[in-house]
Amino acid sequence: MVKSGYKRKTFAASEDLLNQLSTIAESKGLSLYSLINQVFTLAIRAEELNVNLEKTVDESDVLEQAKDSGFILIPEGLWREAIEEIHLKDESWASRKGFEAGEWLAKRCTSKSLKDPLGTFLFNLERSLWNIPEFNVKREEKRFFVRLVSPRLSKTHATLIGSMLEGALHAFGYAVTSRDFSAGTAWLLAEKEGDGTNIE
Amino acid sequence: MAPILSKERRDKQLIFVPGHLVDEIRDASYKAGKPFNVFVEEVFHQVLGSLSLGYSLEQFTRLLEVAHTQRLSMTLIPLEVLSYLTGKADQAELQAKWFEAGEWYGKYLCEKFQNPVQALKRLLEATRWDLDEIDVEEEDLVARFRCVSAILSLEETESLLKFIEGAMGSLGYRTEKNDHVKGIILLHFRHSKPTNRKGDT
Repeated sequence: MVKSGYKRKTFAASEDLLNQLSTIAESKGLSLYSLINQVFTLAIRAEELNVNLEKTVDESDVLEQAKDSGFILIPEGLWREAIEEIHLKDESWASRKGFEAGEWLAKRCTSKSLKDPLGTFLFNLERSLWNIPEFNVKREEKRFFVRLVSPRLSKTHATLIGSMLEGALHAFGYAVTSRDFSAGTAWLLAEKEGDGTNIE
Repeated sequence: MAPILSKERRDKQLIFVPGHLVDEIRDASYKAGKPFNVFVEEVFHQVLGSLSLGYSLEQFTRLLEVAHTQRLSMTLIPLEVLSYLTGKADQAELQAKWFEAGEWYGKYLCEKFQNPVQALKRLLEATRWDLDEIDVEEEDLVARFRCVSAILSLEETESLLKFIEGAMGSLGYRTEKNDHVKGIILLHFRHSKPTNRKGDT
């Protein structure tokens, strides 16, 4: 008996989809058979990695944006330990560096020809903070409220992210009128000042 | 994009695919709780979607690795904050943490991938955007790593080196040669327990 691995099997698929795949195969110098083999191998790989194919493109966009914005991926456990260690030596580092980082990230957005640089910044930041389950933004014409909630958020981490938001809002022309950075949550309320951004 | 579950009748076409792939896709569809044909059409739609955005299948496969990496307890932080931390931390302790993190990832990669050394290379490619070049060569029981970055400081270079050593240590390799300067890492490893390699009895 021939093992199934050496046999071909047939199945029926939408002619419309196959025509599209056939066009792509031709453009790549492949047969439709080869391309479908690759597609199936990809789908099996996604299953092995427990990754949703549909979300993969969206998630890759998050990382591309993060990469372009000057972020980097590091092990979370190491990150959490490192920030606390620095905090023991310098309690002001999180608010200081966070603010600077936020200003810089905001300036990146405003330097591009974006229709809504603040909206873009917040959208990308929310997607980057994938381990923060709650990220709420309430934006009115001249007022801005943002809140993050996560049971894993230490006070230092909350201060860092909150200060980053504060620095960004400052660059976008907002003044923070009240804030709270605590273990588990960070929120701030800001109001627009002047007519424009604070970009120098 | 045409609705996948439309009730419209569509013309169908028979295609040939290697039997083992069909079997594996059928298993995947069962796990996803979807009928085989629906699952396959969804896969086709998703892949067509990514190809329409300009990704090749090879790039899309790499995207899967990256998306998977997100689940490996990684977090995004501003690079300048990482640089600041690296400069301020006690170097011995920081390097020990990177080594430990590397050990953890090494163990995970060993369980998840047929070739964990190449998986480590892909992990570095997916996560270390501050690296300009990553080369990994394997020959018999020897593995050679070469990493180059124009922006890493000496401390950051040494932290990354410790991460790689930790990971390779978990995979059963010992460091034979360690050569590094600011922004460049050259590591040679040799597998220390050949009888424990994956797949061996």
